[in-house]
Amino acid sequence: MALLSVDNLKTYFYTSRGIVKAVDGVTFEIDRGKVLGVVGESASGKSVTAHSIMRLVPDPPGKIVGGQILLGTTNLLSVDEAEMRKIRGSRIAMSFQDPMTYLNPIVRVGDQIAEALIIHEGLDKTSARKAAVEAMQMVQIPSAEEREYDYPHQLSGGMRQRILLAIALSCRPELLIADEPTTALDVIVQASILELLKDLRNRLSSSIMLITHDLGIVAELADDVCIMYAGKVMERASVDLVYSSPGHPYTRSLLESLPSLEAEQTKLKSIEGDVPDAISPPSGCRFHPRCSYAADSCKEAIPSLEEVERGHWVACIRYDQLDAKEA
Amino acid sequence: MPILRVTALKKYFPLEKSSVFDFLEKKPAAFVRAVDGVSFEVDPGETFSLVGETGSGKTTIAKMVMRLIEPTDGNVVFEDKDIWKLGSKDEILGFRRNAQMIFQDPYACLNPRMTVEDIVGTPFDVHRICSGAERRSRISALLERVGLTPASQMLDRNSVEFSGGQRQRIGIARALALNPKLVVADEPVASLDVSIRAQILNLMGDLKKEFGLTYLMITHDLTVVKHVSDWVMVLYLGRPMELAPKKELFESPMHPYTRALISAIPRPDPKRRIRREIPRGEIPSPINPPAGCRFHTRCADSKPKCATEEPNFVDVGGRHFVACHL
Amino acid sequence: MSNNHSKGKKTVLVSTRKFWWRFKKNRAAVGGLLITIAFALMALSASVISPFDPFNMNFLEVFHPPSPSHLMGTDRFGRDILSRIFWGTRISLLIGFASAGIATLVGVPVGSISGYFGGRVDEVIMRGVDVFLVIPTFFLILLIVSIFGGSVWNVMAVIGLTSWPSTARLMRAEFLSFKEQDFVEAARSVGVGEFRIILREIMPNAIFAAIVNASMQVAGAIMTESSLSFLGLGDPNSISWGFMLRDALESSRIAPWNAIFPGLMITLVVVSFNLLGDGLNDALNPHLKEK
Repeated sequence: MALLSVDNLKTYFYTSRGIVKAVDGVTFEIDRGKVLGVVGESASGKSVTAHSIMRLVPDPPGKIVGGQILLGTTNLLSVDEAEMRKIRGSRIAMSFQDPMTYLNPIVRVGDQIAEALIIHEGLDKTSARKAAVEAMQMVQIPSAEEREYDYPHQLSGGMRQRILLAIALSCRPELLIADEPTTALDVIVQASILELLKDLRNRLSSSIMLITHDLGIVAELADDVCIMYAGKVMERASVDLVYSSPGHPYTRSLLESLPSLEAEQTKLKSIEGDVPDAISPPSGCRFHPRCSYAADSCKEAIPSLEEVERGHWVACIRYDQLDAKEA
Repeated sequence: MPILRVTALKKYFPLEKSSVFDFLEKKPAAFVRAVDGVSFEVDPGETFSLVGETGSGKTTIAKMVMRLIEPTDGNVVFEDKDIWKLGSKDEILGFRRNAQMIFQDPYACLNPRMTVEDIVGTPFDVHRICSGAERRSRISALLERVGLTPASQMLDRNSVEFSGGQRQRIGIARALALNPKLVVADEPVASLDVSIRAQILNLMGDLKKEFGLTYLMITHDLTVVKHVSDWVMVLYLGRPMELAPKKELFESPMHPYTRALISAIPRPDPKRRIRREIPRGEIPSPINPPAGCRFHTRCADSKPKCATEEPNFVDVGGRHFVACHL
Repeated sequence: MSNNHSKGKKTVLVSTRKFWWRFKKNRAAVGGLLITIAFALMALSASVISPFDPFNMNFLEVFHPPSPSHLMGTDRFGRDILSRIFWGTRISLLIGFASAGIATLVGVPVGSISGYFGGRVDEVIMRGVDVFLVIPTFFLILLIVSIFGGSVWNVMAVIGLTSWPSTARLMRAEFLSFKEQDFVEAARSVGVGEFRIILREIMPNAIFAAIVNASMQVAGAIMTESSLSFLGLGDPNSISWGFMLRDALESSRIAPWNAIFPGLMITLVVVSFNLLGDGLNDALNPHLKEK
């Protein structure tokens, strides 16, 4: 049985300009001990999905209007807030993209990690501090015993991101949601965080939901991949399948448009058009205005995720005709 | 003859002293050594990339080349004229006609109170090139050329209404208005969505061929560098580490920092097992850079010499320069 | 490094269309605007719409409560209060707008230059501004008016000259933050001169803050003028709500309408300008981020 099962999740934002269907029928699963990479660009809904799982969607203007989120056997959408607070931090934990805004600037980092332990595991201050130092060592912060007395502004960006991960992992959650853990960092620091996450994946029994727009990181870290676009899942499969035989036109185009270190290209294959407007998305398949395989039928019906081969799900009504056309 | 020659360029930013003696003491407490002696040449029609992480000084160099920040030392020579010694306003305007810049953040580089027509037309107005109907038609032509069609519908709209990719195109149109020879591009695609990046890079490539442009590209993204550059210079803490033609740099990187940068890039290939060498520690502060080789504190192969003597930037064959004792 | 959206940007960049759209949705602000306009119309047409001559004393009709002929009653001299209210609007709005106008006309250029150029220029100017800010304004006004008399012009000038420092401070802050923005650097790299950058690039963005501030200053100036008149320091020949309140002091027991109506008017005007200013401010700085 999967650790986390998200079924037809819908999260809408009711704004003065209209309804933003940020997450519009998203379904995926995360198995125990596995890493799921949720890949998408801006307005894909990947971050809102994570916030929905944690029930941290600001209400108003946001609201989870439909679907089901099962953590084990618990339906996260039906528990009350008090119960959810117990789950947050202990069973599911999240780390965020911009560490500076998510760390309290006037509290020492050791104390911030200890806070979660005190609340969820009922430790007293001394044991919590000790556990906090251990958590810092787990995320490979050098000289953790001295660092725990630092304030966030005294640490570098990479260190702060590690602190966020330490806070999230301190209570050994079943699921770690890492929201863009490398995006705001320098290249070499990104690599060190990536290696850290790989190490954590091997050592801990936690599952990881990795949210990112970086297809390189997903390839190196994830076991399964879920590609999101405009609030919907376009493709879902194991990481090997997605990269070796991408099913959805969006996935294919995305992979082809990446400037890579290996190939010698003169011109990149780019995707036409822009990311769609969140309030009035295209009719039918959200990707059809930019899709080189689009037909008239693509404007009418919204494609559902179909299992086109074992463990490989694609939301495209023209999937069968894709290989015939020149990619 | 190189179109741009930068020699021993330095920029030190003074740190504010927060004491009562502000007025009395002229010398500030310390300096941020953003750029500490960088030299390079760019030939016409090339794409020369400056690569580095935070604190490398690459953006500061770009701004000194664009005559926006004054160097502490060294000179910038554009087409045989030292741009910081230009006398008259006309000469400076003349330089501006020849060198333009594309900025990183498409959401901040366009005046939110101006229409697209005004933004792209500003260069025409300032240099008094044309007005009225001719101005409008030239602006429309530029917009169409960068892929914003139909131009007539774009002119009167406010820049705020456009997406990131479209705004970057507006910025490019503005940069091209005066038909410059040199375009300095500061992280032109870093803030854009992945699917849009290829569009803009392709556009820049097309424009380079069509208008005979020379690009000075500032970036931290080595995949972009590999795709567009002819020459690459790797910077660290304001000093050059390596300079080589693109192919050379990627095939046989010689500096440990360059190798670290290349190995750090995530590969979109799940089957590859990557052995990474990650330099220990973090980027030191540019206020007090390490003595000797700036990178020695993090270098796995550093020797005692590296801590005391800064290596020279030497040609190791084929115009491939490295600053390393190894 | 690659995503600039999370960089804390204090100033939000707005387009005119979006600004008015947001403003219109704020009912209170629109209400404030309408009331303000109503008052302005009242002031302009005071001579036409007043049923009586506001100076006309009629000792036969002293302290009449509100009635069909005198909708707001009469005061101790038998003067029609409604007419006096209408005429009083002129003074209040005149002083309000003029003071805010002077403050803006002086404060905006001073603050802009100080903020844009920085360095020595900024230091010197800000010391000057600090001197003004240190002076307790109300007592300065009392002093000046006691010495030079309380003519309308004096009051206007004094209020204006003591409120420009806050506008200057505000504009300085706006310019300090805007001059670092990319689009300003882009303008420089195109060759735009300093003057044009200040006027054409930054000012249209920064002026919003000054407008909001001016709105609040009008309210403040009206309050100050009313207070001065109430204390007897205003222009005795003019009709001012403050003076009306002063007259109403002794008779507040027997003829409360003498005090209620002027007081109500002052409150209403001040509230409406504050709502207007608040609405402008909210339209300028949206608090909700929708993403």
